[in-house]
Amino acid sequence: MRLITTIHKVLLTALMGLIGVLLLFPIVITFTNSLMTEQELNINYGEIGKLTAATSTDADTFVNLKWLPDQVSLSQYGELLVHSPNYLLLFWNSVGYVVPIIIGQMVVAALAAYAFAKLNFFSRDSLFLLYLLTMLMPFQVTLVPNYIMADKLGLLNSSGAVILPGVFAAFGVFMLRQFMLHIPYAYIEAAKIDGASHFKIFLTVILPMVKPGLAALVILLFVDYWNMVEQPLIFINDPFKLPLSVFLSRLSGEWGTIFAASMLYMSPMVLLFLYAETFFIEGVQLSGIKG
Amino acid sequence: MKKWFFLCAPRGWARWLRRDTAVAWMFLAPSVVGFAVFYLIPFAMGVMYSFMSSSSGGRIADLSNYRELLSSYSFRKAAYNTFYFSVVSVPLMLALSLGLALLLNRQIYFRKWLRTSYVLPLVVPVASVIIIWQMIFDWNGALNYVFSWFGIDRLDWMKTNAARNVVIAVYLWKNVGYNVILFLAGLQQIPKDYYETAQLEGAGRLRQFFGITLVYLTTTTFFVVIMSIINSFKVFRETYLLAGDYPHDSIYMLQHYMNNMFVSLDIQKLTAAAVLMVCGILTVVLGMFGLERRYRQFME
Amino acid sequence: MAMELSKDQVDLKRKKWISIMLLLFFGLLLFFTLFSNTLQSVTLPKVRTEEAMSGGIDYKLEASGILRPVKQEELPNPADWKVRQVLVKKGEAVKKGNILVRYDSTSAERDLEDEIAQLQKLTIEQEGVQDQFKLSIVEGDESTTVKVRRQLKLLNIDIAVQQRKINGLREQLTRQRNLVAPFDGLVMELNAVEGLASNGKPDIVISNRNLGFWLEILADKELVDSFGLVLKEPIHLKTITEGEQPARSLEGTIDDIADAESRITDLPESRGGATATIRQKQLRIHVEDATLKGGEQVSVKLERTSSKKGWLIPNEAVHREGEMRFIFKVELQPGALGNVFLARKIPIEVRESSEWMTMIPVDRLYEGDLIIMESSEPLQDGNRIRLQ
Repeated sequence: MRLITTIHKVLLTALMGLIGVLLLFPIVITFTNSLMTEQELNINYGEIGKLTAATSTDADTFVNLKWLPDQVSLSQYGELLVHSPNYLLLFWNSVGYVVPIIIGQMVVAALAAYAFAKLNFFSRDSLFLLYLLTMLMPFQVTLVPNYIMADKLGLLNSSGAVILPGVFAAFGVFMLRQFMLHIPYAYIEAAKIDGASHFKIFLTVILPMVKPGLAALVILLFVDYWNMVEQPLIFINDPFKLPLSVFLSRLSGEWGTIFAASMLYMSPMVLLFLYAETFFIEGVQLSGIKG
Repeated sequence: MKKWFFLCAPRGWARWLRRDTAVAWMFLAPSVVGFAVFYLIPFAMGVMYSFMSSSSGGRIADLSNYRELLSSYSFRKAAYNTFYFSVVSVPLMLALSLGLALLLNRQIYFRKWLRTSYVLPLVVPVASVIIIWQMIFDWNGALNYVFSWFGIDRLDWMKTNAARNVVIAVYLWKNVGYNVILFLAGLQQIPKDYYETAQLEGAGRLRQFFGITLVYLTTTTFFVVIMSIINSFKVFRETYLLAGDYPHDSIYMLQHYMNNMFVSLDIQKLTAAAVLMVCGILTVVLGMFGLERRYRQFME
Repeated sequence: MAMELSKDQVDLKRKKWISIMLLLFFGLLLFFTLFSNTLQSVTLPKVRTEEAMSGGIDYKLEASGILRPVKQEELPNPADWKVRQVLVKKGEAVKKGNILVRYDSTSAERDLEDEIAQLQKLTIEQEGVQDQFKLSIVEGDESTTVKVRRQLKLLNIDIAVQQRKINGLREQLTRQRNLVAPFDGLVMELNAVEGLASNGKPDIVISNRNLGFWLEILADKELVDSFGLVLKEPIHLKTITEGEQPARSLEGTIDDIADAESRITDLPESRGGATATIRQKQLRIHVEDATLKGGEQVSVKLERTSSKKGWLIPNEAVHREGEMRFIFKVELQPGALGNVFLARKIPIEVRESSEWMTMIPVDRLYEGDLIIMESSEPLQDGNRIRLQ
C-alpha cells in the first residue's frame, strides 16, 4: 500500500515536472542560447522569417532549435556589455521608469488603502468600485484622452507621461486594502485610546503590519511595469528615453546579442521573484480571495 | 491638526468630521487627484469625444461615430476576435489551471519548485521571450519540425487561422501560474475533515470533487474567470510584439484596432470603440458578480 | 519545530544568495555602463586626422637641370701634329679667327724647304738648258735646237709643278699650324696638351654663343597639362647659387614639348605593392643670355592655383577600390553614453589633383570635417574609431 502511494507520488511528480519543463522551456532556451556564438546562432536560426507557405518549396529547412551550445561562449554578453552602450542606457531607463512608479505608487496607494480599509466615509464603496473598474480596463481604453492629458500637462516625450499614470494606478490601492482589511480593528482602537492621530496610527501600527503586502506590491508592480511596452511606445518619441522592453522587441534577427539581451533583461525580474516568491504568491492570493 | 479642524469648523460639521470623513479625504487626496487626472477625467473626455461628430466638428451629441464604428468591417472583426479569444481561452485556462492546482495540491515531491516553475512565466518579460515564440511558430520553426516527425503537414502558424492557437498558447503559458496560485489558495481553505466525512459516508472521488472541491472553489473560480478575462485583454502585448501592427486577420484584436486608429488619428472612432469595450467589460464583470451573488444565495 | 527552523534557515540562506546575485548583477551593469566606452575605445582603431581645407588646388612644377649650348663644335687636331702652344683656357670666350692652339710644324717646314731646294735645283737645271738652247741657235744645229727646246719645255713644267707644290705646302703649313676659332664662342672643352699629339679626342670643343642654351626637364604630363604650357611660352628660370655668385633669374622660352618615358611609382595606399604608371613629358627650354657660359645649374619653378574651388584632401587620405575613390571622414554621433566617433565613407569624384592634393566637390564635406589620414586598422563604413 505504501509502495503504491510512493509510485503514485513519483509518477505524479514526473507528470508535473514535465509540464513544468514545458513551461520553463522558453526561459531555459533563452539562457542556453545566450551562451552560443553569433555564428552558431546564424547557422541554427538564420532561416527564421525568410520563408512563408507561399514561397517555400523545400520541405527540409527547419530552424535547428538547440538546447545546448556547441561551444560555450560569453561573446554575446561581451558584445552587449562592451560594444552596445545603448543597451545599458536603456536598461537604466527601464530602472528609471520602474523605480519611481513603485515608490510613488506605494506611498500614494498605502495612504489611500488605509482610508478605504479602515476609515468610514461617505461614498467609500462606490469610489472603491470605480478604482476597481479602471483596474480591469485595458490600456487602450484611455489611450487618446491620456495622450491629450499628457500633452496639456506638457508631459509628452518625457518620462513623466509614463511614470505619473503608473504612480496613480488603482492596483496598489486595491492590493494594500486587501492586506489592511485583515488587520483587526482592535489595534487601531488601542492606539486611539493612547491618543494617537490617524496619521500616527498609519505610520506606527498599520505600515509595519502590511510589510508583506508592500513587498508583494513591489514585486507585482515590478513585474507589471518592467514589462510595459504600449505606454512608452505611445508617449516617448526619443529613442534614448525608451525602456529596454521596447528596444528588445525590435531586436529580432540580431543574433549577436539578442539572447544575452533577453537574459539580462529578465534576470533582475527572475532574481527578484525568487527572492520574494512567498510575498509574490501571498500577494496574488490575497488579492484574489476577497475579490 | 485635528484640533485645528475642530476650532474652525462650524458646529454642525463636527459630528461629520468625527466620522473620519475629513481624515479619510486627507489620506485619499494624493491618490484621488492623480487618479482623477490620469484615469477618470481622461475617460470622461473619451466618452465626450465619442459623441462628437467629426464631420460637423461641433459639440453635437449624436451616435454617428457609433453607427460608423459598428458598420466598419475591421471593428466588427476585431470585436469578434476579441470575444472569440476570450470565450475559447478562458474556459481552457480555467480547466488547465484548476487541473494543475489540484495535482499540485496532492502529495508530490518538489512541490515548491514545481509551483515556482509554473509561476515563473508570469514574471518573465514578454519582450525577452518573443524571439523564442518566433523560433517556435515560424514556418521553418521548431513546432513544424516536430510535426514533420509525425508526417503532419506544416502550418504557417502566424499567417493562417492557426495564429489564434498561437495566441492562446502564449496566453496559457503566461497566465496559468497566476490562476494556479489562486486555485491553490482556494483549495487550501477547504477544511480537510470535509473530505474525511465524505469518505466515511462512502462518497467516491468524483462525488467528492463535485460535491466539495468545486463548491468551495466557486468564489475563487469567479475571481479567476474575471481575472482571466482581464488578462485575455492583456495578451495584446504578446500579439503585438509577435506580429506587429497588422497581424493575421484571425488575431486582429480590439486593441490593435484602437492602436491603429490612434496612429491614424481617428479620435472619434477610437473613443467610441473604447466606450463600447468598457461597456462590454462592465457587462461581463457585473454579470459575473451578479451571478456569484445569486449562486451564494442559492447555496444558502 | 526543529525542522521548521532549519527550513527557515535554508530559506534565509537562499535569500542571502539571491540578494548577493542581485547586487552583483546591478553592480556589473553599473560598472559596464560607466566604463564600457573606455573599455571599448581601447580596442578601436586609432586614426590620425586632419581638418579639410577648402580652396583651390596649388600646382607646383619644380625641376632643375644643367644648361647645355644649343650648338657646339668639336675642333680636332688638323694634321695630327704635336701641340706647341695652347693659347686659351677652358671656359674662355673667343672671337672668330682667334688662334686657339699652335702646333709644332717643323717637319712640314722641313719638307717645304726640301721642295724649295728641289725648285732651285730645277731652276739651275733650266738655266743650263737655256744656255744649251742659246748655243744651239748660235750653232744653227737645228735638230739639237728642237731637242733642247723640248727639254726646256719639260723643265718649265716641272718647275711649275714644283712651284705649286711649294705653294700648297706653304698654305697647308699656315693653315694647320694654328687652330682658329670658327665663330664667336666659348671653349667648352680643352683636350690639347702642350708637347703631345692628339689623343683621339677633339683638341677643343667650342660652343656657339650666339645660338643660346637649352634646358631639358622631365615633368608629369598631367602637371604640364594643368599649367597649359605651349611652345614659345616664356618661362622664368633661376640659376642655382654657387659659391659667392648670386642667383640670377633668366628668361627662356619653351622650345619643345615631347612625350617621354612613363614613370612608375608606388601608390600611396599600396597594398601588395600596387604601382601606377604616370605619363611624363620632356620640356626643352631655350635660353639666350650673354652672360651664360653653359653648364650652369638652373631651376624652373612654376606655381599656379586652380580657378575652381573645392575641398582639398591630401592624397594619402584618398583610397581606391577599383575605379571608385573614397575618403573616410569622422562622424560624431551623440551616443547614449557620451559622443561616439564613427568613420564615414564618402565616395568622391576627383575634380583636380596634384602630386599632394586632391580636390573634391564642395558638397561632399562641411566646414570643420575631419578627414582620416591614417588608421591603425583597415576601416569600413560605420566603424567606431578612436581619435588620436
